[in-house]
Amino acid sequence: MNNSSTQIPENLLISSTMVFFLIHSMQVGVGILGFEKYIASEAGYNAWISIIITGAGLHLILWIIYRILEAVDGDIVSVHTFVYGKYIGGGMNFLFSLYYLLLCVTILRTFIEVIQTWIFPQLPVWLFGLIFILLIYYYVEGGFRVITGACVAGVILGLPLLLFKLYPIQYGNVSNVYPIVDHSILELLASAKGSIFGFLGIGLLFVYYPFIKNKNDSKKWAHFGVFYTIITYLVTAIVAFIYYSEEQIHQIIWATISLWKIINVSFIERFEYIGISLWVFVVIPNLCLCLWAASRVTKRIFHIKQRYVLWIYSIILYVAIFFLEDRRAIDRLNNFTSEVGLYFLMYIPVLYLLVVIIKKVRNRHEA
Amino acid sequence: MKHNPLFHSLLVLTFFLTGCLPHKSIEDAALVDVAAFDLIDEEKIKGTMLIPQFIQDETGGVEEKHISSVGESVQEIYRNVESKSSKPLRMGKVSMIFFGDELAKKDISRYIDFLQRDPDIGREVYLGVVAGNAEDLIKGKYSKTEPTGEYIEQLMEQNTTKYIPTQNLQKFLYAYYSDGMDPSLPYFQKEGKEMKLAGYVFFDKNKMVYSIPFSEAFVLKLLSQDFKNGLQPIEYKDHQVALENIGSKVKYRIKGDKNNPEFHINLKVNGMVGEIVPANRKIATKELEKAFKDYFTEHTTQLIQEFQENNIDPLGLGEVIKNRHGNFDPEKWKEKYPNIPVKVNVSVRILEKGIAG
Amino acid sequence: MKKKKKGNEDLPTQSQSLKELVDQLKQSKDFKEYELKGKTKGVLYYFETLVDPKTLNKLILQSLKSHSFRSLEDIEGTIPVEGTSITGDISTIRDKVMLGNVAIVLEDSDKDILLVPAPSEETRKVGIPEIEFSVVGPKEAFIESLDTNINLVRKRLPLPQFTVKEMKVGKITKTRVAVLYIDGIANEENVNTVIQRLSDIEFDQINDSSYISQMLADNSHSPFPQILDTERPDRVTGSLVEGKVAIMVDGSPHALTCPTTIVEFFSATDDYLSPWPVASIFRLIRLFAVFFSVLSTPLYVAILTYHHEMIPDDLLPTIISSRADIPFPPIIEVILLELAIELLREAGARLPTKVGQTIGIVGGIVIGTAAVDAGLTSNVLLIVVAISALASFTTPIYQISNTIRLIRFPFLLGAQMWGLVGISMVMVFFIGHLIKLTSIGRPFLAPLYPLRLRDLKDAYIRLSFNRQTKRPMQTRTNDPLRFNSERATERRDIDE
Repeated sequence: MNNSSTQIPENLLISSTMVFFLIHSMQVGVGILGFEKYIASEAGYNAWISIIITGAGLHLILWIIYRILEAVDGDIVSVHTFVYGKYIGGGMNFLFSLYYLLLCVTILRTFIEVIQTWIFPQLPVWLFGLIFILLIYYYVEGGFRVITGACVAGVILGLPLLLFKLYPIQYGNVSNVYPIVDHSILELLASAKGSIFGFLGIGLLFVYYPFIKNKNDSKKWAHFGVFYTIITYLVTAIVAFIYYSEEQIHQIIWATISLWKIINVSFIERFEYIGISLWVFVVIPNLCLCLWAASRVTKRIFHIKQRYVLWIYSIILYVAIFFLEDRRAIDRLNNFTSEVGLYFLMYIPVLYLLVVIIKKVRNRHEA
Repeated sequence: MKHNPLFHSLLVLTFFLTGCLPHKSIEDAALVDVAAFDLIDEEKIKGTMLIPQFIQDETGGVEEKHISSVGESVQEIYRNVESKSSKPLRMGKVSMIFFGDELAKKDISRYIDFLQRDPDIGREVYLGVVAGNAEDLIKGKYSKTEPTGEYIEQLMEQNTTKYIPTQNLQKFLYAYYSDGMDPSLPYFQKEGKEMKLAGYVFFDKNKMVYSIPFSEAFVLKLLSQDFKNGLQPIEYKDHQVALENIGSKVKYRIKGDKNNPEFHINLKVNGMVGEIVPANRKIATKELEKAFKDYFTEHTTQLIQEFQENNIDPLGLGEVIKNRHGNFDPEKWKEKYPNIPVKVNVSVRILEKGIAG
Repeated sequence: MKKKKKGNEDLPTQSQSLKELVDQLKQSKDFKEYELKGKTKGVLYYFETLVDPKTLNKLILQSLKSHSFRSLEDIEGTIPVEGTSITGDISTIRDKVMLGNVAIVLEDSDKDILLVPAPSEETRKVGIPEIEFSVVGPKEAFIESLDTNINLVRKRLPLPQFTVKEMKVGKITKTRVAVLYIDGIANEENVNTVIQRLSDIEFDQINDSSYISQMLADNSHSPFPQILDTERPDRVTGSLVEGKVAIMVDGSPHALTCPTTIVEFFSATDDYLSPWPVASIFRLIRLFAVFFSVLSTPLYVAILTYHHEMIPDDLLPTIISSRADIPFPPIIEVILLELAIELLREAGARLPTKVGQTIGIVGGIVIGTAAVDAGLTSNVLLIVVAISALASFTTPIYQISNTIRLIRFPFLLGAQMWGLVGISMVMVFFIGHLIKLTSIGRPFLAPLYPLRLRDLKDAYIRLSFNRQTKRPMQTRTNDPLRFNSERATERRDIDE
């Protein structure tokens, strides 16, 4: 099943190593700044186990995604058209596209909220949002290769932030993460659900798969990417559990940022200002990938220029961040997006089954 | 690559559209260095802010300004202080916050919530309780060369490395919210023209309930953390002997089952004898080790007993049991805590006796 | 480059015959018409100012006067000058005469004319490099003569594969432009791109290689130079051997090399002349200097305006007391001082060397001290600005240092608007811009993106020569292997 528009010109392809950066950078975004509270609310200090459970699940889903894409050899649009036919498939694709637009809105609004609560309460959202969206547009307009570059920059610049996590440990209580399990498997699973917002990016592989040069080789890098993500989340959670007492963590909305507060190097104090500012580099690739994926899927469905879709989506994005004003609305949005994301992740195995069945049926017909 | 000049110029233009944020440059803000809160009556508290005024002249000296005001909440005090200040108040550089002991005995939870909510305030802020009036303490001038705020901070830092457990806002919040631990703070006193670290006070969550003198604080530090500093003088056979700590380690172990736990605290102190008065060369190292061991065992056991009698847990024994055994019930633990057996095993090794015989 | 109106291929009033040409040229006073009165009868036409009198008198006139010639072919056979030609084509004659040829017309010859080249070349001697000075390296720099410049490179590359292609660019100036590459190492695609773009240039004048550099750039709106220019023959040689293409322009003492990467602008010749650990450290220092130069004043603005909490306690009194009497917010203070520095630099660059130095010292010390005394700027900022200006001068390539000074201003704006977040956003923009940039179609940000681990050996650091086994991937060279790495990296056991 070779759709003509899934053929990408050679010079736009990315090397398989880049899949590592794509997968990882999409999974580390605003979610990691405050996920500790959500996972600890269900499973307490045992929540680190639920991260490992989530990790294992993610590896499985990644494997399934690769199986689907290999079976169909295309992107999500070709998969859905293959499974459901042109019209229902097109509808599914459009939902998929809207979902990534929603994710984009959630990430951008949450990040603006971080800046509002932590640095500039009076931040003029209309201007900040506008410039931020223009920045995203500047990247997305450059095409997938440029977005991949943003991912690489984000991962490289995010690395020192990860190393700075070692600093707060000296103020904490290491025995907090003594491996004793006192939560039920249900609680652990509920906690795993709490961390899901961070891991939604994996589905984007459905869109950029045709852009990978050596697809078979990229599997290894994709799994590395997921593994590195899990390690990042695990380290972040463990450091937070060491640094905060279990009941304290429920009080804190942005545990990772609060943790930066204590970092104090001789020439600079109060690391959170640097941390949040550097987080722009981590959030930009997230937003670019989401917006790119949303617009690309729409382009593939309706066969219109991606640039036009991009304009429309950018405007929708800009309007949407206005309607979300307070903490509660943003929280609801986050929960809603997580919920939808969870269903989407659970839908992937179903999709795989459908692909396998249909393939068998058609083969039999042909035979 | 296609270049759209319109897009580029728009990007540049929006940067020029200075929909800027309200801001004050650093010299136009009143940076609070130390804050003190005292109880006035049932409802009202008095807050005092110490604001250093840096002046540019040959001496580069510092003048200090104190602004006090009364209110029911920190925000109210804050507002009232600003009504007396020419510059907007910024709490971002606050380095130490004092509470008068009257206030500490009543309830400090209201002020703690403010501290943890405000994003401007760091987590390395020192907290302290003052005997009597906190306002008087920060109004004192203790050094000709150092500003008071810096003096207090240095005093705190210096003593934290040696005699008192590491303490800051984060540590306080950790214990304050924890089910298995109670917070504690250093205790200050103004003595004539000097200020001194008078001891250590312990809270039952939000109320100060118990205190120890400075001489006992070293023992508390030994129980709280591993460190390499400080000294402890004792009396031994008509001699004054002092032990310099060059490395102590503390480990908490739990024996017995979940319902009847028994704590074993293993404390190892490696030390160096710094002083024997009057000088006596005949005292054997073994004897001294024994003497110090007895001293530490007695004092640590006594300290823990006092904690249990007051039903406070500054050492975080509850945290230990919660982490090791799981399924922690804070209320049951609170009931059980005073009667739990705690044993301290001390071993002291004297490695050196200084450079003279 | 789009051609909107079709420009005139030639200027108006073109002469069709020799007589018209002569009449046209006679309007210039330095055009001479010399009538031969010896054994041979004829006329010589030439520009006095373009012709070398020695060649004219000793070689041409002497032969013409001592022999009797009947045809131009006879003269051509006798005159001891190479490169003569006989033609009747008026436009050729015109072009050649304009380049310093002597046109000889015999009385009885009908149309044909003998052209004898006798150009007087006024060039300076090969001097020492002034912009890219190296302490220990070669002290030769390009000059304005294309032939001398090619000579400087060719004598370093004695191999037949070294190819020089030449073309004329510029409608009026008809400047000679040479494309240099090593056949077999350089990628044909790069060579073809360069030649293609050169022949596509539509412009009336090419006065320097920087014209070409801007016209060949992939993105001509970018503040970043996308083609490296150098005045060092050894640097050009090095680039050619790596598989790059060099472009030289007659009349310009700078050669261009491409494709290039951003790191190359920060690597100096000295990096290859000192041991690799030393070289790597200095290269890192230089890169750090760039970041410092760009970010120090924006950080000053951001922290003093919005993020007071970040200043360590011990530094606070110093900063506050130095700022106490300043009537401006930090941003105005910084812009004032930055502009002062830019003025000093600009004045220094326009003035003769000696006066320039004086201006630098007077400006630096007098204005700086006075500004602090008068309470217009704080002394902390003065130090920051001075060091950041100094840091911008550490870049070995002149053009990028201008870029660095320029891009500081968007960062300042970002800092003033949203503090550190604003700085980050401007940084994101520039990173995106650099990712998008290409140099002759090759990524400009390599080897960072696309990540090429192999090329990192000579990018931010420089590893030893025996580790540099392969030519950079950036050039897509046809012959990637520099040398047999197995022999070079052979290690002996202890005491063998």
